[in-house]
Amino acid sequence: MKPKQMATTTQEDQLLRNQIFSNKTEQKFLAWYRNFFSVKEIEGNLTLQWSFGAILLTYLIGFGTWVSSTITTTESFIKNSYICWPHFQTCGEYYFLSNLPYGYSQAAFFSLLLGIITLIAFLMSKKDWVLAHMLMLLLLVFKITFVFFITFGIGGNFDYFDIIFSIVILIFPHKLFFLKLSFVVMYFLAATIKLDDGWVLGTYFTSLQTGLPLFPDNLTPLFTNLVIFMQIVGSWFLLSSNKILQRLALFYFLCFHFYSGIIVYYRYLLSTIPILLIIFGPHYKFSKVPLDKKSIAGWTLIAIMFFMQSIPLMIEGDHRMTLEGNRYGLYMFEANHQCISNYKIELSNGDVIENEKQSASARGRCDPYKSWFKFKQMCIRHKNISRISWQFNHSINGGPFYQIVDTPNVCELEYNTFSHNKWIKTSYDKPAVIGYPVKNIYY
Amino acid sequence: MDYKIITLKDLEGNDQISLSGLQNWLHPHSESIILFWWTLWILTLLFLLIKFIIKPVINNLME
Repeated sequence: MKPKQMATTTQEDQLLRNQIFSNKTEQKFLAWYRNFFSVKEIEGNLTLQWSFGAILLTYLIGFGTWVSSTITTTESFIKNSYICWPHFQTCGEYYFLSNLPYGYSQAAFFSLLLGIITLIAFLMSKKDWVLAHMLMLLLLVFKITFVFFITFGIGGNFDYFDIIFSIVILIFPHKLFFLKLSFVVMYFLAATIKLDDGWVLGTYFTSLQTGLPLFPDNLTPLFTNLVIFMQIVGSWFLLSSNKILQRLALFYFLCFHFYSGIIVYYRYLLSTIPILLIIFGPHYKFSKVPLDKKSIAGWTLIAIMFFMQSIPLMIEGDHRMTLEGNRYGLYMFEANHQCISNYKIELSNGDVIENEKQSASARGRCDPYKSWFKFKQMCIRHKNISRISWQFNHSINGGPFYQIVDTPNVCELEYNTFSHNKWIKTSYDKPAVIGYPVKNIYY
Repeated sequence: MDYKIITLKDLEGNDQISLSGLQNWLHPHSESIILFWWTLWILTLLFLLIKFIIKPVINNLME
């Protein structure tokens, strides 16, 4: 055996996985796993290794905010303060954790996840990418389940970024190429939610009391249209072989993200800036477009991203107003919302409870589905409710409040996930204008 | 025309919404601008698909 080969063999032997799982079957499985998930690509590429770390950081930040949440606890189910996705409306029946002041189980569960994150970091430092990969895959499965099945109330677009990048780096061959491509495709798809008056005229921002940060209202449309142009065209130059164009695109998107931090704070930035710098920064190398059999899985993911983004567009009506299918694609900054929800609960003993709820925050989504879900649970749980009448008034981008829901009894309504719900009025139904908003705030 | 202003809780004292100078100038053309952006989006996608996927695949098949 040559000295170089001997050194490699010794290094391989010293890997934690080879010390723990030493029998033949285990070794066979590890070899299959390494090959199946193309872990070799990570082992041999510093950019992918750094990206792996940057993605791990997003799990740490994400779980750090989820640990204190109460919306996926058994108590939230009992109190009807939870919210399920339209495609899985019975999610609450599967809640089994408690959080303070009722119990410790959720915090204990997230402590376990923190332990796994720490272990992954340790395995990365030991260059045992197979075990690090296995544990990260576990976190990814949990994250997908949590964001897309367990609750409708917690996942943001930054989680979609984290999930896509995780899928690419963990599962597919040609990892670095598809990591770069999926990043750019995210920008490209994000442009589609900006193609309306809110961004073309900039009314999303000029209907904020505080306006667009650092820019006067008069210049807002120039800024918003520049963002649209850069997301449609400029983003592709991140992949360019022309160093100057590539660097200019990188500089623009870095500025864009740091600037957006004034509004969205750290969370979104931490899902984007580290990876942006790692894959398009000083170590950037132009990658040829892979078109071999191994690339089919990656291309399928890209196609799925386009399909998911088209779901709200395929449903009748303006999804910014109806919010139907809105969460299946990117939806961040799709519109500045204000809404008023009036309801009257009539009990079988003749008593009537009237209430009004308002949402003034630009980022509050004013989704009629969320109100419907709460009412529907009330109808199912409380047999003494004879009916709930409900009016829902929604304004976007400083436009009029349209009465998009006016129903004598919510209990009789159902919600279709992927098609239009007739009880939500679109512009074709000519919903009543009940008034006009004042400027609101983003908080 | 009845122009009723509705001020939600926490927004008391905020300004009424109006378009600025540039927005007023762009407003009549907003539909055309949106159409322009959608056209650019589709053309960009088609250009990339043809240049980087369809043409190389066809070339590979011809070889």
